[in-house]
Amino acid sequence: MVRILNVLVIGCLIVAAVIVYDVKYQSTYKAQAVARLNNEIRAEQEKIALLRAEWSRLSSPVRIQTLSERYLGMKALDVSRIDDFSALPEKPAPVGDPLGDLIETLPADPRKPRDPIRDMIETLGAPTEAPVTGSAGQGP
Amino acid sequence: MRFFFDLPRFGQFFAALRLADGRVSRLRIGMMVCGFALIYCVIAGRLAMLGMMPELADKRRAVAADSMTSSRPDIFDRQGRLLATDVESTMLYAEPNKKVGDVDEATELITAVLPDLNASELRQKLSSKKGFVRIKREISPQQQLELHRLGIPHIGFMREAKRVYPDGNEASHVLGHVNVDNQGIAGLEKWIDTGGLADLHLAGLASGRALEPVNLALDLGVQHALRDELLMAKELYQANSVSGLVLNVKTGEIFAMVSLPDYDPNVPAGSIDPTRLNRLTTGVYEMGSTFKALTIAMALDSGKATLASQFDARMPLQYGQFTINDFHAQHRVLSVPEIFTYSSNIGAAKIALAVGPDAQRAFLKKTGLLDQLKTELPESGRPLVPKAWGEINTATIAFGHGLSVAPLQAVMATAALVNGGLLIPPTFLKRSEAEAQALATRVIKPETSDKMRYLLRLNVEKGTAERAEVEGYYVGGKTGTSEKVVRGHYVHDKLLSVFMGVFPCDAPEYLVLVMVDEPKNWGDRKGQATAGLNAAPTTGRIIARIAPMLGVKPRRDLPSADHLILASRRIAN
Repeated sequence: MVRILNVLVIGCLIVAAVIVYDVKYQSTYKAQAVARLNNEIRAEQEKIALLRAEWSRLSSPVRIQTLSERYLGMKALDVSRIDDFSALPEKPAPVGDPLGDLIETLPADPRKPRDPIRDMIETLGAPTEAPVTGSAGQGP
Repeated sequence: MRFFFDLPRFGQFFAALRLADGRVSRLRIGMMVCGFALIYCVIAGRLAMLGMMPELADKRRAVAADSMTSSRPDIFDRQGRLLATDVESTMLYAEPNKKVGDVDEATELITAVLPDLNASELRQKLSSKKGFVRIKREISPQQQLELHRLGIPHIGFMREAKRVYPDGNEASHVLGHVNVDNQGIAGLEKWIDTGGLADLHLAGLASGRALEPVNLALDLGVQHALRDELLMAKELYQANSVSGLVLNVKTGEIFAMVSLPDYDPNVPAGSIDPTRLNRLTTGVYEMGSTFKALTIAMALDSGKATLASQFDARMPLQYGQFTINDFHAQHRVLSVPEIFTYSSNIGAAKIALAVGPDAQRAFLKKTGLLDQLKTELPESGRPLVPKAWGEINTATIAFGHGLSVAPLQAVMATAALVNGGLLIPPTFLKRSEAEAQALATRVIKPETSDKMRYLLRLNVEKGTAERAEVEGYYVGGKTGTSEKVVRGHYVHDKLLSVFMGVFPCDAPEYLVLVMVDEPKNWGDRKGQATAGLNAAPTTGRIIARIAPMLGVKPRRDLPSADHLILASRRIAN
């Protein structure tokens, strides 16, 4: 019983030693990683600060104006060009298409001249419905 | 557990073990195991406690030493554009008291890497007995590496913050600048330091980038437009100096402030030149006829005059050898609006005399023109107030002579005339309208303010300020031209032209001040360098440029000022 306990305790001791060893090295490693990351963060922050300063310098109105004057040939917006939508006039009525209207009145086949009288006879000659008499519609 | 302390019994315990009485010895071994287990439990508990404790203080100190020294907060404009920031630079230092070794050799090696260093000066520094000497600021990473490889004993590198102003001259007088140790010595930089940052530096706490940024009321776009127009005006009128300011009349926020000539805060040596001082806060000037607006507002508010009152401006006023005359003389009886639009000195003097010296003094005191103005900027000129305040002082101060104030003060007072009568202390920091209301004091009635708006508008429609008109923005304003005093005498050819422009005049939002100091280009109208010919048109150009940026919409359906004056007169009388 005592022997088993002893073996068990020695086993635990070895396991514990291995775990402690591992934890210690892990923590040292992690601490180094933290220090390294902190350094990297600081370096990045410095770079960001530098880039922000650089960007501000590059986007400075003085510089932009100088560049635009040299390369763009733009000019300042005149106040008279600023207005509200409400100040715009009403949309005008569609002008229509006079030429198109004229074409529509023309016969479909220009080689066949228009013959109004024949058109009239054709419409008369075609019995469309039963003739309607004066008495039609009156009830008994 | 008595056997631990009871020696005779202890002997018995071992005797019992030797007896190999299984029952007793097993009990005792069990007790031993329990005892050791208890001790280990205590140790484990203590370890857990240590593990849960926060990090120790000395570890934090090590991190702080790693970061930069003397950082400053970033400064942003009102739209979040960066105006000032810190960038890191590396500084080379030595500790000569720790024996640098061979000074000559060290000097030779260092100057080989940094050729622009003065060798004899460096030798002197290294042979001193000081604990710390700065050898060179801002060395490049390449140089740092080379110096590191040389392996000179007791020299080191320190990271330090360097202040950078990306926009250069643009906002120099507002931002100010820092000294070589990154401490603010002018402008808002100094204000930041007096706000407790200097103490933090002393305590070694202000390092790293954890400082709260400072947000200004300044708008970089407006600031640039103002500066650009003023640069052109300075060229055009060949003036000694030109300065300008844009103020929000409802909040007292200063959107832009320029005083030319200015300097580059990245190279602060330029600020020493006295011609480059900030004329708007540091200098005090006689603001000329722009004071007539104050005089008339005072008279209207006191009830001693109405817009319909008439004042005799036929004859010059005579005080001993001093004569008050009109520049645009009309030689007739003038109404109050006419006195304003013709800028009649005689009329303004008579209005002030009708109110009386004591009331005038009290009014100017109330509008803050007799005391030094306190803003965030440390530079502030004290007004030059006459010691005795007699009738002649009243008469001259009525048209802006005999009382010198900082232009920013005059702007504050004029803003109170148009914003409904509230005197709001100007600020360079962001402020809401509600905060401004809490700080404001009432100086004139809202009705008087209404009348002043239309008088100012009338002056642009048909008065001395016609050239300030910008179609659609309903500009109002007052010109002021004063002769400068040189060795105690007014000099006719040294003028200060001032224009106070307000827009839009029916519900004013912004006030624009333009000040042209000693314009020399008088053009075809020789002898007339009055403000109406230089400061007023400059203001017009500035308003046309900044109003769209400030979100003020142009309107084309506004009635003429005359119409509104008649209407308000009907109400008043």
